[in-house]
Amino acid sequence: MLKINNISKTFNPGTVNAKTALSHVSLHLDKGDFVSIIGANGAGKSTLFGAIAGSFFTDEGSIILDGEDITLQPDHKRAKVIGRLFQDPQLGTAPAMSITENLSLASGRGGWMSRVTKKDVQDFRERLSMLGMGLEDRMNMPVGLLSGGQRQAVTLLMATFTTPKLLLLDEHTAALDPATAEKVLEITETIVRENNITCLMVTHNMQTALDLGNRTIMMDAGKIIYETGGEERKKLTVSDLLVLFHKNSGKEMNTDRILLS
Amino acid sequence: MPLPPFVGIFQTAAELGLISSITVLALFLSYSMLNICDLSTDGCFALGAAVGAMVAISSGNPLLSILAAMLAGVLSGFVTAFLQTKMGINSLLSGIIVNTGLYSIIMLIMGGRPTLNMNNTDTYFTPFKMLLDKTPFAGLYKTLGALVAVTLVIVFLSLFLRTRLGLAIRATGNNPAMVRSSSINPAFTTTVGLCISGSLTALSGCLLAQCQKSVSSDIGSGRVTIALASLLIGGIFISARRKIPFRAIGAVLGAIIFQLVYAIALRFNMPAYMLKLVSAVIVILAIATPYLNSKRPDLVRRFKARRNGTPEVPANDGGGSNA
Repeated sequence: MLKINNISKTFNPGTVNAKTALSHVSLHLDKGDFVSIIGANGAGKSTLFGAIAGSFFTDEGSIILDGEDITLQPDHKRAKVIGRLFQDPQLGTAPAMSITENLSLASGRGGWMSRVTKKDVQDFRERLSMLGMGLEDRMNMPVGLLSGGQRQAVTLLMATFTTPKLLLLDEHTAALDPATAEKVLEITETIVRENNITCLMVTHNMQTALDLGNRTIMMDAGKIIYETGGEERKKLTVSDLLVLFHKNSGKEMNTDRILLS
Repeated sequence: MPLPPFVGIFQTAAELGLISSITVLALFLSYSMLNICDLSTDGCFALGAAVGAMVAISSGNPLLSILAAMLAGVLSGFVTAFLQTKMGINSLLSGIIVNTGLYSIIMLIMGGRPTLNMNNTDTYFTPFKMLLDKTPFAGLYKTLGALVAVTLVIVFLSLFLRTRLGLAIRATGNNPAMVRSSSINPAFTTTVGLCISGSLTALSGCLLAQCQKSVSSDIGSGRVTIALASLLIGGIFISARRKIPFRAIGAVLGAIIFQLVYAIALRFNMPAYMLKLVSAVIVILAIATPYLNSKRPDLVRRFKARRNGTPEVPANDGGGSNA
């Protein structure tokens, strides 16, 4: 489904601030793969997502999604087939506009001059009620008045409105309180499973990285340093991961933001 | 029929207010919706006035003159949008550059003359004059003409902003990242928005010129500040939480109130050249007041601390500012 071949990215090349954020990264995903990504701050996890979503073009290498070369496609075109969620719940929605209006833009339905129909509203209501947050009764409320968790749930609904070929989750529960984070993660799992969406998820929670999905990769200094899946992964514990990180990167995982449980 | 002076003031204010409210509605789209301060407004207004006048004089067809003026406004808006979305020029600077360039174009259109006169030309208001001729309302034909134009613009904006394109334009001013993730190019929505707002600004200039039956090359000067002042006055009466048709009507009310205050000030012998200072002060007050209000608790604490001559000690909870 996704073939990343040997991509590299250096920011501010040729200056004292030059930083190689991705260095010859290759990654292949099959349809329905759910891959969790762990790594210290600055390992290149978010840069990898930026490269896939088209926030910038890579310096070399190619990105093929479902047989189509998207290496040089602008971000808004890729957004048709790639859904993306950020850590900051503010980023995914337009705060001054209502839930209905946000969903309507994300739905991609109709021509430029089309308007939201009663049928659309009914459809939005059904999808919102699946979140179990009571948002279906507040569809005309500006999204800016919702809590972070509610906004993130709405963003998730928007990103998966038309089933994307690839879903990128960039620590999308990290800014939420633990109970809400768990709820949003649960909704994520349901939506991804029901639609068989191919998915990449960055997380700082090592246990989540092992519990969710079918593969886990570890990044450091712009490279993938370890990859696991299948039976081998099922036996791993969080402490195994820390040992593996030390072995492969030659340093300790910085533990200021990493959650061990 | 001579009118009592106070009726005259109201009528002039309503007439000028309605015509300039179309510029306010243009800013409602660019400033309130797209979140862009479009400083090409002055030039675009004069462009509409000049093009509308030239076409009306040479063709004798008012409808054609209005279409030509609006098309010129679309072009002006397109250039402003192109500079900021494709040429990497800051949006304020794009507006200033277009504004400067337009001055030469306006002089070119007016054939180098500083004023044009339409005394013997049919204008947009001529049909309204004939309609109300010999009725008790004959003196109100300009007000009626302006009211019809403003109503059409409000209906158009209210319907347009509910379409998918309209929603995308609103979202562009609100959160461009969200627009991109909805597979819409914000450069496209910005361009469409500025083209429409340019056409409305030019329409407003065209109507003012035809209402006064003359154009001078400086007809647009200060328009952006006057329109912004009107928009902000309107916002005091109709909050941003209301639905769009109400907010558009609020913008029109703001324009009329502005003209009314100005007309009354003129009655009290304020010289006409004070208009621009008044509009500048209104804009400053309208934008600065909410900001200063939010800062007031901090300012009060600093003032008290200075008066008591003691260094600032955090209050019991320590939750305040670190000023």
